[in-house]
Amino acid sequence: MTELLINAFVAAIEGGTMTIDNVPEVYRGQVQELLKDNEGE
Amino acid sequence: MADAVYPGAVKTWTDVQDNNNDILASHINEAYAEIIATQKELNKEKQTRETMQTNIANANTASSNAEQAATYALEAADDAVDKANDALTSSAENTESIKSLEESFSNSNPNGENRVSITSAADIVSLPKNAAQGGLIGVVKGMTIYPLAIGASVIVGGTVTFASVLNNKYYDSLHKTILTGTGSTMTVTNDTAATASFIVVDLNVHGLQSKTATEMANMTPNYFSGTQNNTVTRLRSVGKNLFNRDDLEVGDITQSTGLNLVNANRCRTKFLKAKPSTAYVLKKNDLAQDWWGVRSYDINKNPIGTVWLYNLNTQIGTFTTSASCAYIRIKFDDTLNDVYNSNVQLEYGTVAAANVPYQESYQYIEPFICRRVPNGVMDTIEDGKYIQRNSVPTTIDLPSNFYIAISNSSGRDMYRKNVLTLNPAAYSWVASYTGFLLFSSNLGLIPQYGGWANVPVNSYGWSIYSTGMDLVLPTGQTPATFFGTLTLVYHLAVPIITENITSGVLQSYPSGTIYAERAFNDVCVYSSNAAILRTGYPIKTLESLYKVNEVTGELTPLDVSAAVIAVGGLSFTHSGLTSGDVVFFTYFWNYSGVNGENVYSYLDSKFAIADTTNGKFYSYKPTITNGVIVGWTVTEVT
Repeated sequence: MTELLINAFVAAIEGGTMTIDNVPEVYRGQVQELLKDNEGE
Repeated sequence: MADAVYPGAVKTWTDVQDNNNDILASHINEAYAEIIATQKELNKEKQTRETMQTNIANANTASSNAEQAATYALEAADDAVDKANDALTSSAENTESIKSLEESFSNSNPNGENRVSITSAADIVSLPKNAAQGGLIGVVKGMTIYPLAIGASVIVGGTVTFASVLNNKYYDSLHKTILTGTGSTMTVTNDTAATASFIVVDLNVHGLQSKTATEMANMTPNYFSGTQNNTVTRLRSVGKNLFNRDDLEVGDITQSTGLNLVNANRCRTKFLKAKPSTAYVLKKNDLAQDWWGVRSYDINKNPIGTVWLYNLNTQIGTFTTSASCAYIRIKFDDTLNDVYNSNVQLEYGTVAAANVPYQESYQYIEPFICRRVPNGVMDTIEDGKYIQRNSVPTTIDLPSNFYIAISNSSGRDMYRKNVLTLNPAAYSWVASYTGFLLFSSNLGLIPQYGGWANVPVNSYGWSIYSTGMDLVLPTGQTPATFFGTLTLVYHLAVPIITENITSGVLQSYPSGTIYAERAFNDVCVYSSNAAILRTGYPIKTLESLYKVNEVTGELTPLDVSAAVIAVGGLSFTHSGLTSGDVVFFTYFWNYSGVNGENVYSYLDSKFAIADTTNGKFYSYKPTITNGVIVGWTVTEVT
């Protein structure tokens, strides 16, 4: 469930419906890194 | 002479003009006394100044030390930040590792078991008893179907006709049967007892002429018109026990209408996907001695058929779904808490097996359309990637040196266009006539009939020519007015691959079930409502809803039935949510397309062996005495 939630955050930020500030602190680092990885692709 | 006292307070000197440059004093000694006092004070000041200078020096030292300490602290903080970042990076790497682990898990095979594949276009696919619990690999396959004829809401006794080609195969979705073309006009009559919507598909045109009626029924569960492709956005794998207590909600179901009924002392399930014409068995186990029942629904969630009701003494009940059943709902004359905390088990068959807990796993997939052309080349979703092997519908607008010709049944060319440059590296598939689908916005799918002589009366078909013939169009018509826009879906010479489009890992379970679904998970910040991300896929029904703790990420479930979905399905409101809340939810979107023949690969358990005659499965265990196998114990796997 956690991975699904994190991926949902990444998709929402990339889709422009959320910002990183909306992500719970506990997941923020992981979401940021996944966003960076996706930018690099 | 007594020492004068230096005034503690600020002394104000007042000039006295006596025209002499003397210090004014009332007594000669007073001036000296005052000077001495001043000297003493100055000395004190000196001492004080020296003390202060020492203090300042000390303070400076301390400050320097403090500065050093601060520097150390900052360095330590920086170090901590670096470590934190490393930790975060590591954490993110862990996330990446999770993906790697997911792939590893899906592909792992610690017991050296054989991997077995099931190919099925069904929405619901059952795994056998000897499927091991382990990594399940799902491959979503493309499918593209354009019905030759459609019948929307055909009344009882009403008909749908179509021009057939001799010996071509046609699928009649009303009777779920394969028809063979007579070369003349054929008719499908609604001989059922109710109005029905159905389609007829020319299987040869799609390269599907070898498919069975059951396979076609799985591919076309919905009534539709126009071109439909396969889009799957979630694969869900469930264990043997199909009863998920998280599907429970407070309330009853009205027997006659199948609709919700308010009752705080009873509970019911949401809509559970069900197989048609299939036997189920439900076991209440330790639940209180109260009645329970099952209601069935069609693919549009309209109530159908029998209501199965069981009295208060029935602990195990069986029921068989009808041919048109797509969903069931179960209701209990017990509170939600009672049912939630009991061991209800729902499974296929007529014999209730030993209890196993509900298990499930998910893989979500970003929405990618998977197409198929008649030569069998399909877009697929596999290994977390979308592999696009066919073009999107592409308008024909190319210079001519090689032609696709659309002819009528008289063998006259009505339109010609070059298509070879779409894929010059794959000339052979063009020559084989099966590498693409040709659509007219006015006439629909233009079939390839292998030469104009086979084109049904009053129909059109395409062929490929190296030289052109005279174009013959109805008087006053141009290709544009007659055919509208012509588009091709063709086999790409080089596939286009999109990475990282899935999340989650699938597991197989013994006697498990796999669901190919059209569902998404989504997360948003609630304002006046909760809005979805993928606006091209609006909400049909909400499946689950959680409020996310903004610090810990903890999920608090909310009652889905209290959500109000906006017209258009792009958002919903819920009384349990306020502005600023972070919301995580899953939902089903509207789908009326077709199913591809997906492939599911599971591990064949070494510990469940199929009997060679009775069709049952058995586990086995040796009895070892003094290091020698002296016997075997065989137990049926249920």
